[in-house]
Amino acid sequence: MGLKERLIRKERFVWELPVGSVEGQKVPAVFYLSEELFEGLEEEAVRQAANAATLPGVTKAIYVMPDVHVGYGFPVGGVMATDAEGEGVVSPGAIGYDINCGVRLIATNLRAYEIAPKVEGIMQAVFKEVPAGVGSTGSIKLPRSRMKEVLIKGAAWAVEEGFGRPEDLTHVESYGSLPNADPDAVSREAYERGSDELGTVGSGNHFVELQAVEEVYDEEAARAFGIEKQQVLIMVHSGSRGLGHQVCTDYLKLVLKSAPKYGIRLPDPQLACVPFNSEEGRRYFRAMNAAANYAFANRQILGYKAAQAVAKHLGLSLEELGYRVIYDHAHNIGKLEKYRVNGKEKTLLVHRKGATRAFPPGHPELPPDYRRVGQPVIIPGDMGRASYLLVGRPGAVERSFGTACHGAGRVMSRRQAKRYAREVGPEKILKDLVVVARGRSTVLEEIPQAYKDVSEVVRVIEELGIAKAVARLRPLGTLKG
Amino acid sequence: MIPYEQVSDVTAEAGIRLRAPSLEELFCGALLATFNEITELSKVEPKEEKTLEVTGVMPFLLADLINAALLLHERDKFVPRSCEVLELTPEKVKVKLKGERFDPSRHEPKTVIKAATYYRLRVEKKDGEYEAEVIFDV
Repeated sequence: MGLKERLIRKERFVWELPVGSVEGQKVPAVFYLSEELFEGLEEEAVRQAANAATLPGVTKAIYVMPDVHVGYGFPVGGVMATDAEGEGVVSPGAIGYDINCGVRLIATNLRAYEIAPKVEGIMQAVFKEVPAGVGSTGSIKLPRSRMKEVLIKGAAWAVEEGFGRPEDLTHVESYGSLPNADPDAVSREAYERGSDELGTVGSGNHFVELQAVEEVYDEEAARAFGIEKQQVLIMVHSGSRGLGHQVCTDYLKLVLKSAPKYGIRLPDPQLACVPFNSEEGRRYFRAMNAAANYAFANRQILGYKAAQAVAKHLGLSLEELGYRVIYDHAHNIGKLEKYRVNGKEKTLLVHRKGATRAFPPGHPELPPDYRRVGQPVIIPGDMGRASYLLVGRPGAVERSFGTACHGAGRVMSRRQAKRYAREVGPEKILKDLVVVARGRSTVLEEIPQAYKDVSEVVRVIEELGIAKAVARLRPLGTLKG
Repeated sequence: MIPYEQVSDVTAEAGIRLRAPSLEELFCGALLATFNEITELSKVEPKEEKTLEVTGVMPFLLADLINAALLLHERDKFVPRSCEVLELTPEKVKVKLKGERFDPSRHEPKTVIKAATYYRLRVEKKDGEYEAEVIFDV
């Protein structure tokens, strides 16, 4: 019997793999899926969640979001919290290669109907200013000493360098700068990969997109976030580029080698882990935070440069454009957070891989102007259908350690998507979309049909009370990597 | 280059699977197959020589070697056309690569491979031959 067949439906949209389903399982694995999404759930993704449920110090449950798909070692859409005060582990594979891959949403004063005929021109202007695609390098080339500042200060470094305004930082997760970041825990190779990639989008599913608010579902939250119907927004999706990848590669190797020393039996080498309270564990955590800060700086620069390019193309100043950061958050990260477990407050290391922090109203970590409504949760969809802006709800704390989904989730591999596009005809698929890119290959890998319908993913999150939809955002034009 | 199969049953990702008569040929075959996924190797000239030495443990040593070559690619734009194993033990591999700098006017980019993962990684002896599977982060 496969593990998927062992899933028990606990309540609507909640499926549980009980303890005892695999050897050494310490906690249940809980999947949040509608019937439709359950159909597409891969056996291997269930296996990966079950594997994580066997690791030392794993707390309460492994939670899996509705945009789940198979990852390396740990599923994309997976949340794992480990006891950071005790024997809990840290696993680079459960955070992912692209450390602090995340999204930023920027408001403008523009209205969709005003700019409709100009979208193509605007996107070409953004394309000129924002390097994207395979091996793209930026205009910022930093020696190691300056890179260290980036790794410590994060987005604040970019603002100091003129890429943004101090007030931008209040609307970034952890104010765009994680503590416990140690530039000396990052290898020479990682520095080499990251030295000329700041302010670049990269490739794969990363993008800069012009969007219009198509529908507003929650007026109060929309007011707090400063958005209304027809308003044009800029969304940026990128991460820590080669530097973050190298940090993951370096520490995966170290952690795999060190795990036996701590008596840890690994169900999958890609899920290699060590105790958080070990020399290797602490060192990885400090390197991971440094890479996360690089990613915060990267999105700060990207968002600011994209907004500048839009403003310049339209002959506006940034003030006239109405540039304002709505929010920026990670969806591949490990964070130390406090939760009540069995009546006691505990510090947990929450691993989020393809999953977004979604704090509810009143949470002390939220900026004052959002504290009453909750944390904005940005869910990028595909370039054809829609993206969503949600707001965290109390259910997130109860159900998933303050976490929501991160996107639509793929249904086709990149190769399958390219084959499908060639069969159907790329022109037919892309005919109503404005897409600019350096390479056609990435565009075909990222066609809307390669993704689940993000609306179904959001519906599950909403009905479970994890987050609430604030607005639906329609893509106007996309710059792909 | 040894013929190889593309792994396509991994959502979102890519990989390679191949067989070779010896472990040395398997390691070099996997490394070159990786770069053939990045760009068409038949268009790459063996102009420069590079040596790579990597330590680790089997079977992860194979992914570690590919990752070292990917780093060379990202840093120096180097693409290997040929590969020769100089030394291979269960803890160490040393290879000599011949190739050239990626030139966008002659080399067409295919897939962006960011890392060779340990996920599903296999290096094993099967029916008198060696077989490997490597899944990439793309």
